[in-house]
Amino acid sequence: INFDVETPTLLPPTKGSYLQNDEIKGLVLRFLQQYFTCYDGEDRQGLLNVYHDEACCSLCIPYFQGQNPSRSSLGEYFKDCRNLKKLKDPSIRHKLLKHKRLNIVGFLNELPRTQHDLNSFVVDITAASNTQLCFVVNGIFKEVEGPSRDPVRAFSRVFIAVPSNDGGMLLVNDGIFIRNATTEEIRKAFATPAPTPSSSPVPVMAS
Amino acid sequence: MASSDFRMDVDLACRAAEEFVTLYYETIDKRRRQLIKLYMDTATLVWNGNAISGQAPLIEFFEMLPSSEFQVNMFDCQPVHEQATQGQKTVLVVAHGTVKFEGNKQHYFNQNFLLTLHATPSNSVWKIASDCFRFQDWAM
Repeated sequence: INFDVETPTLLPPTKGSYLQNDEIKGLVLRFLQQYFTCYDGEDRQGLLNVYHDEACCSLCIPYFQGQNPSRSSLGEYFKDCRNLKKLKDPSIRHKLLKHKRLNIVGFLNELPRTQHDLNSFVVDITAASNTQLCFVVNGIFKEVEGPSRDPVRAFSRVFIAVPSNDGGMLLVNDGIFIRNATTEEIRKAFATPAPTPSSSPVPVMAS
Repeated sequence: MASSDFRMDVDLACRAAEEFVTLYYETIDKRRRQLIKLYMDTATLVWNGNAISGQAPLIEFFEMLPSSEFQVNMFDCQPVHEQATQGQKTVLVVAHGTVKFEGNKQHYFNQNFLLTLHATPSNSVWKIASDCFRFQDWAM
């Protein structure tokens, strides 16, 4: 006896970057290239030019039940982690939300020095209008100095930008998420891309 | 923006985000058919790189998505600057956790929402303007 009430188990296939159209794609990819070149440099002060005066920024790392995050390998990020599921005190919630350009760049400058793998970037543009652009960047970076030896991390950052007077864009919101990279991600990261036939997947930042 | 206004915006964002995260993941797990009510008519979802826009395509998408068990381990939020939203109250919500879709292995996921506040004659409701979902182990 059969009844036709089978529940779906097939997930839609996972795809690469969603970039809406060539114009927005060009704008966002150029911005990311410039942003992370500066972010990976000796001094992140140059980022003062890309944040709005009243911008917000906060950082999170994953939380696992029963684990003490301050002792995990992401420990250096723990003091800045704004996990609202755990932090109920309004004054701490305010403190961990970096507000205003100077505070944000000051905060970013305290984070470990990095090298981002632009070829690993997967970018989703989720909202685009004349007044705002919202996009999410997933990718891999390594820390190039610090207590542990070049740890490889994965990150996800959500940026909201408004048009600036000079025709570029200014960030008004920046949400940073950092986790440890998986073994597979570490294996693939920073691999020098060999010349590939055009049929193979082209990394988003390679163009 | 005066700093007291900013504090109020942050408090409002936190309250909205807290209630939203609980409601959203309960609804997608247990009352999937109601989920569409949380989205604006013009909302966009980018789900692991697949873009879905508008009410009917979203309803169809959620119908064919296998049933889910979400566990949120972390969430954060920020008030979105009014210059980006033309004055409409907007909150950015970021969530991270695990999800098990029926018939599939468990994944870590990240999800980013933009919520906007809509006033009606009797009350105001928050709705999802955009939603971006990605597995965090998708490259494996």
